[in-house]
Amino acid sequence: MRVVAGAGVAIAVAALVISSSVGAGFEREYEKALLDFNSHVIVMSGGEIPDERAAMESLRQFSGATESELGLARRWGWLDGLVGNGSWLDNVMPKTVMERAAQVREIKERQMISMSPFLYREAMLVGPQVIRGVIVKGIDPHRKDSVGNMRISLAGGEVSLESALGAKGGAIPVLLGSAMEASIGPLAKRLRLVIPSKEGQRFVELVPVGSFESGMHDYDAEFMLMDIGAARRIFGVAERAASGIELRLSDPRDAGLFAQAMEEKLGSSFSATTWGDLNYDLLAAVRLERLVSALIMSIMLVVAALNIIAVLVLTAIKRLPEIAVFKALGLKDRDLERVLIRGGMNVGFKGISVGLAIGLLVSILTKKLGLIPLDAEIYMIDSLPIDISWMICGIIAFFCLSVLWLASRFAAKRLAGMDPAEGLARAR
Amino acid sequence: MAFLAAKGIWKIYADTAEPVEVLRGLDISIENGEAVGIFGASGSGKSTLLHIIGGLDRPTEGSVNAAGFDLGVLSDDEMARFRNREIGFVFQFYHLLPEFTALENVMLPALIGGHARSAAGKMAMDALDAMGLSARRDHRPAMLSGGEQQRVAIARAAVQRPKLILADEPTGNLDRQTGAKVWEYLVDLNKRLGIALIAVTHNRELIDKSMTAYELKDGKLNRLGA
Repeated sequence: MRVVAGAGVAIAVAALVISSSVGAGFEREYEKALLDFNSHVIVMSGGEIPDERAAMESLRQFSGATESELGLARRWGWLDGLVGNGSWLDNVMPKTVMERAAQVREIKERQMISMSPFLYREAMLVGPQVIRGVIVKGIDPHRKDSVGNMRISLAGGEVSLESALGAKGGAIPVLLGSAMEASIGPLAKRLRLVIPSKEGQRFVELVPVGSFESGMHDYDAEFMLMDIGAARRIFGVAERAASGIELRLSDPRDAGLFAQAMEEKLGSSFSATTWGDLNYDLLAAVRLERLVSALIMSIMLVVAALNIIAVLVLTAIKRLPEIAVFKALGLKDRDLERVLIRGGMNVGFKGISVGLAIGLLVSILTKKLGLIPLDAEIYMIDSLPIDISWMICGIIAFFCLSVLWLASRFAAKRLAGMDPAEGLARAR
Repeated sequence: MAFLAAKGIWKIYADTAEPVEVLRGLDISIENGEAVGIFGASGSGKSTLLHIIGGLDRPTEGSVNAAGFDLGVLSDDEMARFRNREIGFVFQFYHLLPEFTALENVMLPALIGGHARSAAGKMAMDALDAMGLSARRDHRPAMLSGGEQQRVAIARAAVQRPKLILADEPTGNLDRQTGAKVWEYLVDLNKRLGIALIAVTHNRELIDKSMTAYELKDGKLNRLGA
């Protein structure tokens, strides 16, 4: 009976660990892929930014934090969300804490580490066996971070992004998303871009010089990169115009705060959008899924804890005469409670330990061996992502122990309070 | 002043369709070291009376004063301490813990009472010795005969030298000869150590002349041979 109850706890804990690891894995992979492809903040100006240099000049004020300042902001970053937002805490916190929070906020507003203009346009890609819509992203290959952290594969002979996307006779050199490249065939094929214009449509010769992989299937299937100058030329955009300026920050988690501070300082001439805003639906869905699965698994755990109550009660009913004898010999109710709680916790502790071990083992094996492949066209990643967090495991263990303690205490209190005379009478 | 004085004890079980009056205004008083034998038919309320005197149950009405305590006002913790220090129980079905050895069973009240394990062990060995069971100290209850189990239970009741031993049908589960021997051990404890004894039985023959004898009938005690 105890083994069955312990097994129930173990299964619930293992399920909770695995679901948390998978949920965290999805969140981490999606965030990583989004951050590899997207910048942290995109600055736009109504329609198109007419002069990228002027825009970047006015944005320069949001950079300049030194490494030591950024280190300080990382250490004390938690203060920023806690105080300085007009809550009651502001009134009770010591002055030094408020000053440190203000300092952290000021540093965070100067944490931009790079910026890069970009141009987005939609066009039709035509190849030997392909006609499809694509999004052309013009980037400045000379600028650091213009391709984020995407994995770039250049064709043989190309040594750098600048040279790869540099002029190649008449054809425009492009980097194709890895999924797009896979769908249209080998790189050597010449491709053409069909661009709508006032005169009807224009054909632009392209030469693929490599590919990029962001980790997000949708991006890798729909985007192609080219030099922003070439993009301006073929789409007939003014020389310094851009769709926006992409900014990278020291800590992408501060993007919301950074964007808000930026809009306040720049006024209505610019609007700032964070990577979180751009991918709100996806991130919200992943977080909701993670929350719901944790809730469902927690309910499983509560059911397992109820099993422990049932086992304790059944065991105690079976041993009611012995409990009555203990009371007759002078054992106090609270000492009896302690013994019964220890019994319940003993079963629970073993269940939690086994559950954690099973959960971690399954998670580690799935991660290392990629045991569960996913369809990248649906999930955007190719295998089940697992992110094992020791802190989450600790929280799960603490949560489980708390639930089991409550369950054991409830059962023990009821049993210890029983009438000893009744227990003795049952033994007859 | 009497060691035990129970006055006007009523015990009514009202959780049945018709309330059952088990004890009806019963009085009993015993002195230090007195031995009392209570005879009564099955279902007459003998066990209920012992449970009330021993603080395992509370009367519906009436008062119990024992060893200087008014049991009616004791908290659950105080009642537990009273049972541990002042009372020893012997049950018809021995109620030894099956996983424990004879010695460990006898040690239990002393351990609950806060004695160190070594001291409790010594007290238990002395008590087992007095019951002639020192050779059986490491045996579990299942390895002992009924008579031996009841003697272990008596040793357990006497291990802390309580002021009163309450024996509920101590021979009820034993054959005539073994029962008589067990009864002798109980009476001997009373005589040798001066521990007051209340023993209930449905076997009138066991209550000898040295004991104050009562019959429990219709919820009241009637002195026998008075």
